[in-house]
Amino acid sequence: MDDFRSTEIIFGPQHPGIHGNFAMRLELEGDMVRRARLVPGYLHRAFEKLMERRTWHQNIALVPRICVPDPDVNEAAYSMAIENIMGLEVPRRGNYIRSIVLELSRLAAHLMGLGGLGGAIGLYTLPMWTNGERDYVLDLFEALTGGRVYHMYTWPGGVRWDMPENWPRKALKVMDHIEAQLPSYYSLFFESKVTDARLKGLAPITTSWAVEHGVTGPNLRATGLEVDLRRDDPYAAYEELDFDVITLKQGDGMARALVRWYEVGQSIRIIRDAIEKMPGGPVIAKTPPPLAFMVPPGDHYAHVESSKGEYGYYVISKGGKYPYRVHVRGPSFTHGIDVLEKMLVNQELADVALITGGLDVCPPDIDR
Amino acid sequence: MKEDTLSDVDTKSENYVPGHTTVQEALGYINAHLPDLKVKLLSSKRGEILVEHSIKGEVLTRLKEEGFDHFAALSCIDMIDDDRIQLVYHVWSYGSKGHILVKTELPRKDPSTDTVYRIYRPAITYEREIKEMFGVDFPGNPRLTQFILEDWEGPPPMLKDFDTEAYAVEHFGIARRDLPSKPPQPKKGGES
Repeated sequence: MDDFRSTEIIFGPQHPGIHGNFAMRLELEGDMVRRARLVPGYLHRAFEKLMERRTWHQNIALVPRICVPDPDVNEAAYSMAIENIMGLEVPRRGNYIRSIVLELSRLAAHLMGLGGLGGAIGLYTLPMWTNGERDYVLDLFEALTGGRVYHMYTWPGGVRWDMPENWPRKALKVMDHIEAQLPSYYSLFFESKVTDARLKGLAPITTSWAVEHGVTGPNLRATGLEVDLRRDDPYAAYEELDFDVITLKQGDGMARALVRWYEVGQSIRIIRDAIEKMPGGPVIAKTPPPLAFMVPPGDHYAHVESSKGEYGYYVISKGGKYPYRVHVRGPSFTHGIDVLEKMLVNQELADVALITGGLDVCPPDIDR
Repeated sequence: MKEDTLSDVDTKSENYVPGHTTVQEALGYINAHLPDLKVKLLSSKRGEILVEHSIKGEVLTRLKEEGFDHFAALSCIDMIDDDRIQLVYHVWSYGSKGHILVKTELPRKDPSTDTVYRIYRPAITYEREIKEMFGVDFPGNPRLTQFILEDWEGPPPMLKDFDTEAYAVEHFGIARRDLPSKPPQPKKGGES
């Protein structure tokens, strides 16, 4: 009789509610999910294998492609691991520019993530607006790095070139614009009765559960634990920049979305602060040219706070022109498989997209 | 395997307290209890421990008790020259903000070591990937099912001696030498 009570559906990879290229096998009883199994692998590009056969600098073109919405954390963590093995000191100005780039990337990723949540609720105005603002951030990236989505701008030793002269002014203008828009997003999304009904109390988790299951980043801060690698293990110029670590207590869908909304404000604050305090000097340390670039034997795990959680690069060098092994730890590797499989159980089918989007799962970093 | 779900999460009583043992203290503690281990302080916030794979579970349990309760990652490295597979367990303490790398080595032939997912839950997915990509077996892990490679019959592809070109020739009938050295040029003329 049990066999007739449950239905299995395959949700994704072609589905408007799926976040990227993965699928879910959901076992349903009526509208309730009783068992969820995640199926990744649709976007596996074997980056870790490819990286073993490319020079240290060629890999800079590969790594940002691991996470599409928030690519700069990859370049930064990979470069930081190399710098640590080599004992390279990044010039102060280089670190400040890195922080600005990382915050712009977080800003763009959060705007896109919040827009995705709006889409999952049926509130289509929000994705239009936030993706419109994200486009201004992409314009800034284009002016600074030449690329809109992938930038390949952070290099071992610093950043590839200095900011154009009028770029800080442009960046501040975009920041003013986005900041002026934030209250209207708040009233559009967070004050909507639909958002309230859909997100409040959705799949709540506690700090202990989150830590136990390897939840990191905004999802962990939404449970009330004040942790942020930018402050706990400072990198780039974060030690000298002012910002607050945003935490909320509830640990539900609403808290996860709100943490991201508040973090947009903090990113704007960091970017302004960094532009104001920007020191002079070179932006990149003296390093050998890319084709003669060698890294001495050693290993290092560098991690950064991405918009989705902890992003780590464990780089092993045996000396020479190529990395011996690079292991990428993406936040979605835990959020998108084990955590999600648990969080979806006993939830309604209509909330599946909302929970996945609320966790900000990015399947490309599972696949790599 | 029983599904443990969010309904088991008690959202009312929250009592998470991060541990504050520093990396140096944790290494000292491990050294005092298991004197044969090689421990090394890399910096004030980073340390590493080299262990035999049979006692890594004990070391990890102690580290977790000392507050290193965030399992950041499990890395696998094929040390083909030494005929070894290395596993690196990365653990982080939210209280003392320190990172410890627990390194262990397995023979390259039929590598196998007990799962640590009962100590650190996130290991369940890392072990699943490593089983597929490196062929390391983790007895006790209930989720060592097909992960990313679909219908894969070849050797574990992340091993250093996996010949990508030979595999491509055998399965897809195309070798690098068969590929044109220059991309095809567009035809000149009035074609539109």
